[in-house]
Amino acid sequence: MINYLIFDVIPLRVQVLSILFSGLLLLIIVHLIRRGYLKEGYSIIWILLGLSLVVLSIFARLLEILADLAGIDYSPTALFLILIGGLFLLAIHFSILLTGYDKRIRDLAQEHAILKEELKRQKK
Amino acid sequence: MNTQYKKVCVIIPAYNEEGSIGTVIDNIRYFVPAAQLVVVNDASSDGTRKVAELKGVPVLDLPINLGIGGAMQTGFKYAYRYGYEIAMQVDADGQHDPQFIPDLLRVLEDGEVDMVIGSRFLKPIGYKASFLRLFGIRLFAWLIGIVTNKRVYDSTSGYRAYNRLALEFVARHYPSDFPEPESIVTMLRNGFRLKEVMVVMVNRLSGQSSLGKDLGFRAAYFLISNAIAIVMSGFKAPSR
Repeated sequence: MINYLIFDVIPLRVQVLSILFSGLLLLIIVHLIRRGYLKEGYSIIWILLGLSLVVLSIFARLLEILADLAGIDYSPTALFLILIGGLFLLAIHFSILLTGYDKRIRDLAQEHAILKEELKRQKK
Repeated sequence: MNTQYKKVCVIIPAYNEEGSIGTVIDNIRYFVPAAQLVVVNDASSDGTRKVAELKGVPVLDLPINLGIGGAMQTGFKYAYRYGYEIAMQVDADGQHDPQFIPDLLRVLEDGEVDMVIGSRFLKPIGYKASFLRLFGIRLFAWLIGIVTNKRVYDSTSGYRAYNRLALEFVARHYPSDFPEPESIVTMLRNGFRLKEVMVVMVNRLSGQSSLGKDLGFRAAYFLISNAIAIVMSGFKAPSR
């Protein structure tokens, strides 16, 4: 069963390479989090994306099964679908974050202006 | 005689208006001597702040350019915090003739509405708008009519007055980019009452419209952004 999921789906060389690269991607993400360059809350989607790439390249048959379930003839298309879907979610996530930052910066700038005026008045 | 305007805060949002803001301040003082003026300097690169300070008007000096919405909200927060009963917006470019300030304030003092808009289009005189501008203003009026069931003739006018209740609201919720039409929808949907009063707007003394000189791309952007904002704020849940 496990052999069926892993082997004889794609050429072994391609499979090894894709496992290496998606593993590397996951390592980079984990490294960035550990170093504090990436806030944990923001990296959930990245980790999920990296993990699913690793899983999909180890159990190469999964993609075929998924594509089959969705009625897709050519299974690599399913891979693109998953990737584009993931990137889409990521883009929306970023937009939400940006909106939040925009509001925070606005509040800070406004508060700054009001306090500056107050300070000036008190100095007189 | 003008002691009744002591609780009025006139907010003057300004971005690079050194050429006109001095005259605007003088004119406002002439018509409502007892009102408190405050200039919101939206990170101008010219002498706007200096001119205002020389006139003895407190200046809220924004460290970064926030645009008209963010600048106005700064003034609203200030006016609300310092307990003013009424807040007004009068633009620094000289388009809003201060002789109409008492007209706007009188309507608020009647107590039947929370917000008054100085409107150019209640009677067809004075202001000559370009075809595109007129089309935009009609479109906004039509869309606002659909989402709020109320006829607003001049939704892009920034010449406005708010009572304390409305002031509290706009200090907390005010749109950032093209705030005028959107805020009308938001306020109506949150149960505020508004009324338009006829004003005559004069040509700006100096500087240029926030729409810029080229009436192509920016105007189209203005039109579409506002249309979307009106419709979307019609869907937003009341925030009170």
